Amino acid sequence: MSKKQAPAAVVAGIPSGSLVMPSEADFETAPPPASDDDRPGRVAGLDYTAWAAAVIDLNAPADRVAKERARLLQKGYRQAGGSPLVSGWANPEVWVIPRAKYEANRAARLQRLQDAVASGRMTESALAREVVTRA
Amino acid sequence: MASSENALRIVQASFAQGIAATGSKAASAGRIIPATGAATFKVGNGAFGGIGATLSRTAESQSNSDWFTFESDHTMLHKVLKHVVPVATTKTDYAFEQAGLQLAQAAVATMDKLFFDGLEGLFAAAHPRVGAGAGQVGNAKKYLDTGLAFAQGEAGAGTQDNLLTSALSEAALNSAIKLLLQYRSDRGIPLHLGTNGGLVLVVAPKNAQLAHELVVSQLSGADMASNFVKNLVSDIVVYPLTTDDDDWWLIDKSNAPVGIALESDPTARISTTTDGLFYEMVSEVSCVFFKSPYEYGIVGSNVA
Repeated sequence: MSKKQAPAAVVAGIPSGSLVMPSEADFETAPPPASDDDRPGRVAGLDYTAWAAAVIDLNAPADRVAKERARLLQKGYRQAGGSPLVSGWANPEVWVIPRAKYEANRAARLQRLQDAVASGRMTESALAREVVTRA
Repeated sequence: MASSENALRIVQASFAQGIAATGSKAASAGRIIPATGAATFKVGNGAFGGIGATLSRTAESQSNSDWFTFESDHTMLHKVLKHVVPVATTKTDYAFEQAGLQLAQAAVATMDKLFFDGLEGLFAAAHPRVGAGAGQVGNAKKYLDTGLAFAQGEAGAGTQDNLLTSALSEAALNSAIKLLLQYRSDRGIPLHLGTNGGLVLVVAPKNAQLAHELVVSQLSGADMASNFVKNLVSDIVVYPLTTDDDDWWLIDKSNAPVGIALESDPTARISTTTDGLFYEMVSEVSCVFFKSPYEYGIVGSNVA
């Protein structure tokens, strides 16, 4: 038997079977802290107490993506940079808004509901009981 | 041949037929609870001059033991004054038949409006179990929100989401399904919502085609794999929303925490005007939108 042969040259696109192991030192590095970011739709690494996020599915048709970008911009969101990960999303685009502005938007939504009820376009079903006040 | 004596019978029969045939969208997406025994109030227009005669219940907060949170009580009256001379002819027969159907459509439309108005309100409505105490979901939490607490203050405590902030898309719908699949009770116990299918996707008309493509297609759009959604979402309900037509919801219908409670079965009645020349026909629906203090079974998406 002749001495051991070197692995054959790698053919483009076909795994060669070669293996490069991490060093011992790599195991000394502390792993990143665990988080609850693996919830579906959550943006990894985002501090949800300070921020709210909206995610666009870039697999959607271009016109829908463009419209959604315009809509988020109008609502006060700004696009996050980098290449963020969103749990369960193959091709996400992340937009963020400070939590305080997000809560202000929700309050504005409640006001729109109240206005709609006042004008007769909606029934009082749209309002939680504590919001329904009587003269 | 009809006569003024059997006009009521004709109207009530066609009304009942119409209720069954019209097909309530609310019944397709939420729960309909008949005859709750709850008191109803018949008053004039609501303080806001809303669509129907409404009166909210007392304003004190609900305890955790309450089974449902009634937002308000509604008694809807639809009056149709028919120009039908009370003489027995074939024409009057058809008129009564048609009137009964119209009254049924009005009654069903009323229930649907109450239900979908209620759905839209869930994004802004305070959660019935809002608060930082045991058994509650956290301070300032809405019914549809992120970070809703379970087992708060106890061993095994955690939070979960039933709110997404994304327009309807394949990835967003997948996220909603997975949120339901892993939803836990207030004691932190997995509920297996939606694992047997029967989910209902509620969208505005602008998303009707997209919803159909996402749910009914054999293959998923992005990778042409088998459509994961197809066997889980069994129905699409389309309703014209009032305040934001980008909103959408995924509801586990058999476990829906929202719906319409009927105080009594919808009815139709008929009487002649005092001059005896016309018939006055009225359909009456006493019902109320309810949401359970336990929000299990619904995920909503709204970009606030």
